[in-house]
Amino acid sequence: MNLPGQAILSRAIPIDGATDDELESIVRQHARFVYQIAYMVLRNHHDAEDAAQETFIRVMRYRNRLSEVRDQRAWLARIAWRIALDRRKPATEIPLNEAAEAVLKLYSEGAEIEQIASDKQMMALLEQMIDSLPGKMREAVWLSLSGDMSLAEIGKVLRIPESSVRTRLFRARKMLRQKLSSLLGGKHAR
Amino acid sequence: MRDEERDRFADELLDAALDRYRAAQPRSGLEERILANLRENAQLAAWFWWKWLPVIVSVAVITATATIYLARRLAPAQTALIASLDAEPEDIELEAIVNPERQAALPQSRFPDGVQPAVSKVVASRSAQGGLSASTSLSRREALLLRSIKAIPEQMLVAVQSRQAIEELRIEDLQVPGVKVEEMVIGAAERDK
Repeated sequence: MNLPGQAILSRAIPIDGATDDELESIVRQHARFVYQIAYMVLRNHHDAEDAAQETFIRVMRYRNRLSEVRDQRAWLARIAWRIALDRRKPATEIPLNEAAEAVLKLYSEGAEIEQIASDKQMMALLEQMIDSLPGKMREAVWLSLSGDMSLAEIGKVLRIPESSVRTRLFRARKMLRQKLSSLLGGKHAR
Repeated sequence: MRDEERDRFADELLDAALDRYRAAQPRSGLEERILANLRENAQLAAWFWWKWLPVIVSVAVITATATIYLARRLAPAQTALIASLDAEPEDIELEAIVNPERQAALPQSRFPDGVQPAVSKVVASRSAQGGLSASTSLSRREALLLRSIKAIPEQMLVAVQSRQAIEELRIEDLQVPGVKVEEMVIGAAERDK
């Protein structure tokens, strides 16, 4: 049974009704976006949902001042970002050479790029390559992969100019490509 | 795989993998779960507030009552203390300090042989000159100061006096044993000059 959306919070929290409606509207509009930011950092559905819950609990504490927020999306993104970073655990390391070998095997068997890209080993390889990037570049990559954020929005979250975001993303991508190429080439040299 | 082919493959694979990497979608019903959680939190906060409100009020009332009670109880005691400070010191105490006869009657064992505290000397000399007598009217502060001096341990007074004596030494009084400087050997070139 679907609960009537506008009524859920209004019934529960005996405060200004308009504010509750606004809060509920924010949840419905941005929940997935917040989740994606958290997921990009935490790489775990359960942890990402917990982080999203905590993000909106914090928002609820400021519900009476929501009208003062200029850019709600960037504001939410920053809250979720901080929460996710606080909860982040070190990623489990996998042997890169073994992952690269599995990728090359798929390639030699004639698998399509899309098929190779969606392979579990390739995902683990990419995750570890992103983790190995310098911190500033890694953060820019994470946010660029979260919920179609624009460069300006990423800049607001990281509190850096848009041009710096562009530079970091460019360098990060270059490093990832070189690393992947090197891993594949190392295997090929055999 | 040639280098160009490998680079192109790596490039395409990276693009495709990044697209896959970003395509994380939550389980359905995320919004409803978040809203339900917010509702629980709001109810919990309200329950917590109503549960602890009587306790908070009680503690505030007890604290305020205790503060007022203590303030009222301390007020007379403070007034009495101020009154005692304002009162003139007892005459017998002043007499004992400023009267030279009484000073002489003080037990001599308080000070080492031949040592008398500087302050006592000053009081005695001023008394002898007639500048200070038992009939001299001292202000309350002066009287309290004299009382304080009386309370200083004699060892401290002796130490102060010794230090004063060292400071009063003149440079002529110092005797330094003669210093003999050995004849310096100068190099031949230097001597020829």
